[in-house]
Amino acid sequence: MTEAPELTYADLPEGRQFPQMAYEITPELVASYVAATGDDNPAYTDDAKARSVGLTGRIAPPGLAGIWGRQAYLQGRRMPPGGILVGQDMAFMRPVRVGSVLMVQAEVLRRWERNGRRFVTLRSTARTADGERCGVVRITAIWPK
Amino acid sequence: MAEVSVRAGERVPELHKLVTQEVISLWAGVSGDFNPLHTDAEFAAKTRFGGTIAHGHLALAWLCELLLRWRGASWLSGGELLGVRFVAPIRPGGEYRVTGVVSEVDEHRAVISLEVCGESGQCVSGEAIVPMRQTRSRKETE
Repeated sequence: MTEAPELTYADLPEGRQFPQMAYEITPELVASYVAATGDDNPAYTDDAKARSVGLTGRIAPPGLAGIWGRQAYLQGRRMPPGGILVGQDMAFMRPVRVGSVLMVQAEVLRRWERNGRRFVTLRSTARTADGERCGVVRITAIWPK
Repeated sequence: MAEVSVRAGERVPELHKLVTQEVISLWAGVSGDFNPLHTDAEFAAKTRFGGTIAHGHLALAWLCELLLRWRGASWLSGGELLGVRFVAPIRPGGEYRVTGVVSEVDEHRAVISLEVCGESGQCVSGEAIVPMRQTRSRKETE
């Protein structure tokens, strides 16, 4: 299998906006997430139990934000070896239903060099089908090359 | 719908997570992040970490689980994780505690100090903002 090309510091000028990416919250994705994390909250998998706590149906695990937030700027490329995630923020505006397709767009907020290290801050914003924001993820990483 | 009030110093019911290489590999599959530092023991042994480590986003997922279990889906309408720092690696074979303590609270929001700790100490730190809209004391809601 061919390795994905690297996304380098040179590819990340401040202000760059990446193409919007579709991210579908399928029941299979949620099942895989539950298996990996051990987070078996029935709100993710059981419509009746989700409704019993005031939701309109099953919701996506919020921890998926770390995944769509990252995929929105990588888009088939990979972080060069030696990259280090140093900080992260997440904000949630509304629950997302299982079965939804999120439209996620990433942008480069800032990049700088300090003590010979290159830092990049990226922000990914997810919207539901009606165009409303449902989540924002911001990461700062040391970008090795 | 009124929420149960929270108080400064209150502890969030903690989580315990056992990390194995299988767990890390499962997360690689969900996230699509197959960096060999996480999945290839031979490769990882030659790095400064000396072995595979978990993805940072796995710990973020635990923090989300902690807050959603504690506050319910209301946390997803205005809740935030802020300043999450990855202080030390999370390694397979260890058990980790995911904890939160209410550090500040007012009528609008509560600030929660978060940690993920293993046997050798803190691995992840950060804060959460929990919206407290509609919060009333028990007396006011009766």
